Amino acid sequence: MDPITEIKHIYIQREIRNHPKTRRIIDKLNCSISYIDEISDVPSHYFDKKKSLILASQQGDFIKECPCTPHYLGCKYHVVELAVGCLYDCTYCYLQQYQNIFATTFYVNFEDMYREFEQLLASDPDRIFRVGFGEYADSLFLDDILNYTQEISKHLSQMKSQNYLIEYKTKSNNINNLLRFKPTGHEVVGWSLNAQTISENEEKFAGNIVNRLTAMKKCVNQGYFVAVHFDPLVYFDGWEVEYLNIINQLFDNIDKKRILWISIGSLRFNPGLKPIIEYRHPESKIVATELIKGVDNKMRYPKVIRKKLYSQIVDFIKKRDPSAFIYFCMEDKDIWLDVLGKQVEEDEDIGMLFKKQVMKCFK
Amino acid sequence: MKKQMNLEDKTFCFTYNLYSPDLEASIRRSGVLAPVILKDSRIISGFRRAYIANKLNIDDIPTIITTDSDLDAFLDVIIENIAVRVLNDLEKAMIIHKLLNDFKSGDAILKLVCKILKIGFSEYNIQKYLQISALDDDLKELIYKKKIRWETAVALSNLPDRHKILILLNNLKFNANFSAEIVENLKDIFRQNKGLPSEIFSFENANNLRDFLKNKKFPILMKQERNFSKVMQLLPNNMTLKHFPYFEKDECDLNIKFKNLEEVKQWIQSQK
Repeated sequence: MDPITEIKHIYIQREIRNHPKTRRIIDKLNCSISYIDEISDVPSHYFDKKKSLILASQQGDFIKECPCTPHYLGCKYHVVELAVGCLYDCTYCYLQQYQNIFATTFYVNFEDMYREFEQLLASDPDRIFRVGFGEYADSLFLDDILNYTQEISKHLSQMKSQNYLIEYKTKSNNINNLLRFKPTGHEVVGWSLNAQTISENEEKFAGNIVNRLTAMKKCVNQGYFVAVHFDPLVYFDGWEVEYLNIINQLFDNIDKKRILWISIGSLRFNPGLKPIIEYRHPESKIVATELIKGVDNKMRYPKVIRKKLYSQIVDFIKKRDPSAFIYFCMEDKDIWLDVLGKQVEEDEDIGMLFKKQVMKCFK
Repeated sequence: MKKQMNLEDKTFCFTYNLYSPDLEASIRRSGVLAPVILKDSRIISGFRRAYIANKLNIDDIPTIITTDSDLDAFLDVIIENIAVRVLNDLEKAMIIHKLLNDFKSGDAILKLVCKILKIGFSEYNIQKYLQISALDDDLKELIYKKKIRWETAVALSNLPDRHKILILLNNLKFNANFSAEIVENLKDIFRQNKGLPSEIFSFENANNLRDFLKNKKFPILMKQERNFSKVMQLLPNNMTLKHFPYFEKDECDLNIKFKNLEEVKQWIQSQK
């Protein structure tokens, strides 16, 4: 499903009504329009059930350090808040707890984002910053219309500092514009992959796994590095067979040398999200399983289950690519040591592991 | 003035329990002092006063007639009530229900009322209050008497055999916290298996039922607990062992109780 076709209405913040990106979106999308002063003027989706797009000006910071989660290890990643709200509506998505509107907000004032990029990269010239798009929305959801991937790549490539890698995280196959230009070597396209059952039941509106792998293959052929995110891993009857299947499909289709990193994380969420998932997705069973409150107060599988999941998945991956660069998202140092055999004490240690890995892009 | 009032019309009423012994005593003593606000014959504000005065056969009730629109009158009553008392979840639920279904209020009014009632404005929260408002009377009464939490009542209302479960909870003398845990586990087990284990109704001991459900919902964690208990049993009486909550860390704390410092010294020597 192309989520853009689901958008029926556009709310436009008055101050950016004449911004070139706003004009382009209006021209391309055949939707009704209303003008608003603030995003809070958009009706809640209790009243407004149609999917909408909000075009606005980002008033806060575009680029932030990835907040990770307390008491677990982070990976020194930065995230760009280019858009907020995902039309795929996956059952486990944390955005359900924060979003009150049935809409995706897209910020058009890229000029401010570029300024922030310059400041960030100049702040530590010896570091290679990994900066991800797609933390708060699917990073490619409007690329068909705006071709911002090309614009961002071109703009960043002309900056003085070149110590960056940008990652477009997606569950889509919306890659037509990515295939229309030659990557500069600073782009990684990251796909979230999951077991077939989980993809079908919990990610109903996202691109199916076969389409995601096909899109990944095309991007690799075009010269992109790719990343894979097995996140959230779900513990269900038959998980071993299904995760083995998807890992085999991945390595059967994608040149392993082009997979820059593979992240692994298991299902986790704020306790307040549970009743929301129960209400919004009555068929979903994922929150009714054996979940405990972790040291960060998020619901997650007990450590013994997480270790079992991770060890098996890592084993499957290593069988296909012994040198695969695997890291954990929001896990503790015991898991790093027990499953990956890597002694990491703090976020900086993981940052150093990444530094070695991403240098491959710059050779 | 009593004749002008339609005591049956509850359009504007959101008070859960109209009876108040304190107010009855006051009205017996001094009559109705604060006027009841009416629109046409419908009571806008003063349901308790009117209800008790009617019960006491008092005819002399001061009234004020308002010409506000229904919605404005309803909003005024909410604000008046908030100023003098704390509304419970059942009353908030009734307000939300009436706003959406009787007064057909739009987004802006609902947002405003949620702010006044200190309800975080979200689809889920609105739905939560609508679910409370739709509960059967017996469950509402249990919430009102603080016997169960609203979450427990809503979960119960979605489970089969909910009357049997309530009787079970009552027989086993579960308090609100324990009931919440039991029903939460039952809800998850039901969601996983599309059914409830029939054995639950034969339990006569509260802790046994609790353990049974924990074993069903947390089989792996409970196995860890059992293994841990086996190690604890190997310890001498003066030692206790504690694991990290939910075994999130492998380490555990061993606590040793000594009679005096001399015993501590002897123990240290024995460890060398």
